[in-house]
Amino acid sequence: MAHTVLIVDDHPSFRATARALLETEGFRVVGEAADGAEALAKAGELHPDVVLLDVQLPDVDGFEVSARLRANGDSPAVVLVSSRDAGDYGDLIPASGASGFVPKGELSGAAVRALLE
Amino acid sequence: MSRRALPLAVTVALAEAAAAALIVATSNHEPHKVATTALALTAGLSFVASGLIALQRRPENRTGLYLTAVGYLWFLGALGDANSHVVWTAGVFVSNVAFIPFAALVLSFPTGRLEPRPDRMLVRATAGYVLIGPPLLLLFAKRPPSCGKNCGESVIVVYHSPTIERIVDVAGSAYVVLLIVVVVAVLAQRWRRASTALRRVLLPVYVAGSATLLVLLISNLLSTFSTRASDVLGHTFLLFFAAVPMAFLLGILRSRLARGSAAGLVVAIGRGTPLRDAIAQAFGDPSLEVGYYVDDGRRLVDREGRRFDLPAEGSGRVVTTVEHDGRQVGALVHDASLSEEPELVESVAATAALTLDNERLEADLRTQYDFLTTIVDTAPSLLVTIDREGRIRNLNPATLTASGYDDEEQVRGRYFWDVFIDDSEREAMVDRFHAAAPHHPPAEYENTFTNARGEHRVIAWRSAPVLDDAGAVVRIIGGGLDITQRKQDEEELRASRTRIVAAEDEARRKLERNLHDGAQQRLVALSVALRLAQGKLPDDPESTGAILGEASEELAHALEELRELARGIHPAVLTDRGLSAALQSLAERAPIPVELTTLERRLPEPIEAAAYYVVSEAITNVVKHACATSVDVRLAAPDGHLVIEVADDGVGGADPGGGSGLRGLADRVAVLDGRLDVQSPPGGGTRVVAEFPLGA
Repeated sequence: MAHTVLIVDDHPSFRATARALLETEGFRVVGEAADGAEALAKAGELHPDVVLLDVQLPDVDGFEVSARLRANGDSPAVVLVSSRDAGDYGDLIPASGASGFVPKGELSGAAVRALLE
Repeated sequence: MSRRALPLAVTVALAEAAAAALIVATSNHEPHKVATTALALTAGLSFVASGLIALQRRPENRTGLYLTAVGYLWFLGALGDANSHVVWTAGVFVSNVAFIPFAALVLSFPTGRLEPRPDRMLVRATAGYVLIGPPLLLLFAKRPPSCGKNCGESVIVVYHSPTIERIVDVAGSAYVVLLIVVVVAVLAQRWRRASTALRRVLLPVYVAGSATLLVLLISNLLSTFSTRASDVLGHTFLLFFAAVPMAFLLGILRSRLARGSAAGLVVAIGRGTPLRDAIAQAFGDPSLEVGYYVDDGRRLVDREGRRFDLPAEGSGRVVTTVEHDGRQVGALVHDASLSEEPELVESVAATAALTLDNERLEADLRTQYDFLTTIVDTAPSLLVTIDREGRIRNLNPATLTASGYDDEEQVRGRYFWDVFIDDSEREAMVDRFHAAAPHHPPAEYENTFTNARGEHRVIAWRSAPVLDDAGAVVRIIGGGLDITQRKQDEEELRASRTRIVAAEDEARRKLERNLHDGAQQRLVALSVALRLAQGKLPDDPESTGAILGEASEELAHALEELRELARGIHPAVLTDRGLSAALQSLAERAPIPVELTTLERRLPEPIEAAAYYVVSEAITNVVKHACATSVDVRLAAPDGHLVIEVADDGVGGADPGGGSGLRGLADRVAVLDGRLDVQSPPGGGTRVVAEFPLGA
């Protein structure tokens, strides 16, 4: 069965491209959110398997959102994305409880799937 | 006059007197033999005697010569009593010759010099009458009308005519009256101009002289009408005339008395009479002034150390320089008449030299003290003296200003730390002061306090002890610099630097965010889209074309954003084509109409960059906040300054100190020594004016 995905990013053009890419590679995109608050609300509502979460959001940053999502028992897997390198964030990524990090330029269904396994 | 000549002169006078007495005694027409003899001889001898005394005393002064001449010639008048008609007629020719030296005597006293005008003219006029008048009469009458029967008879009558005789007589009398009036007028004018000291010398002579002239005048007037009255007045005249030489002698005696008091100068000084007053007494000149040479003789000051000016040439005042140990120590300014008494002036100057030198030193010290006082009073530095207990004794105006009080008396006598140290630091200051006792070595410290006017002051103090001969501290001198303004400037500079650094950091953050949110995001999306297209190409060429179309559009956006960013960092057009072109480009891209008046010439690079930044930031502010319909940008460069004005027609109400934008502009302008002025009344638009010096 296909993984359900919630895409969280404040740039609509990235959300659209990511949706097309993931759907092409067998994911089912169930929703999109433009900031942290909307992400938490939609995750509670849609129960996606995966949340594709941008680190830089207009309200709270992706690490904070990830930590809150992971705090619940029945929480989705979180894959952090950013146009920056993982090295820019140090140990913030492992500390956030996310499954992993994919640079935006290298985003693909395979890369996400690799982190989920 | 030599010692040998004196007995001879006396002998001649006595012989003349004896001859005169004999002529009068044997006269057949002199009615008052005893009176005339006594008076005439007294007058003649008194002139000779006082003349000889004057010649002894002051040979270079002609007064003695004139006096003596009057005396000798006076006795010739006795020939008027001669019985022989020939001798009598000759006597009329010479009887009045004595009046020639007499006129010279009166007009030249006390200097003995006759001025060409009017003195010599008047002496010549006198001689003219004396030599021509009476003899002329004898050509037309046997006896002159003035002497009635008490005369001899003329032996030179050429034409007997009572009419001509009368005309000559009246004309002669009128001439004499006129002459006397002119002489009196000249002497009166001299009296008015004379100083007090000169008047003392002139007074006896003028009193006797004017009385004599008055009698002579009346006698001349009456002689035309009454012979009897003329006789009586003739004797009165002789009486006064005999007193005249005594008056000259008295004038001279007064000078002698003055010289006597030169010796009393030492006594007067010893008694504590002020030097000036003592010299004034010795000179008999109350107008005396004393000047002291200071600065190695370069400057002349009075006793208080004020500038002392010497009188101008011809002012009637004369300067006598006083020397001591071969050095000029002072100047005595006195009446010109004292030049007649060089010995008196010299002896007084010599006697006063030592005392004057001492007073000169005092005046010199006073001048130096005044000089230092002026420095202390005008110095911008704080200067204060404190006693050993820490109380303020003296303070200069700068210290008073810093204290915030208006009157020195509100500060003097109070503890230094009560006036200049805040409560919080006072205890530490008092401890420090007592710890430094008793030597109070030089110290430096800086303190901030709130003065009596509530102003915060920062003073950098230095202190040093003043020691007495035994090395004990008598007081402490504190010098301070009010560095409040400097501290404020430093603080302002520090704040400005901090703001500039913060603004730079903020600009970098903004740049990174813009790059990240803009071009980078678009490139990332492009990269993902290309990969998507790559994956779809074999199976779905149609949607691949659509994806590539969107990607191409995204790439164009990214490029535009990168260009915009690059311009924001530093517009290339500014470097390549200058401020004018850069501002035109800025105006064209602005979202509202910009009316631009710019300069064609290139300016120094930092100024162009700052000017561009000012206009760019001001337009950004207008667009963001002003709700304006247009902006007016004007650049001008009058008097070596660049003036930039950005004015809009918006809502106004901008706060120059509030927003970081305007503050940042002000900082940026200040770095180039420029200044920024913002006027933004609510509802009245905003006008930002920046001004930069363009340098040499």
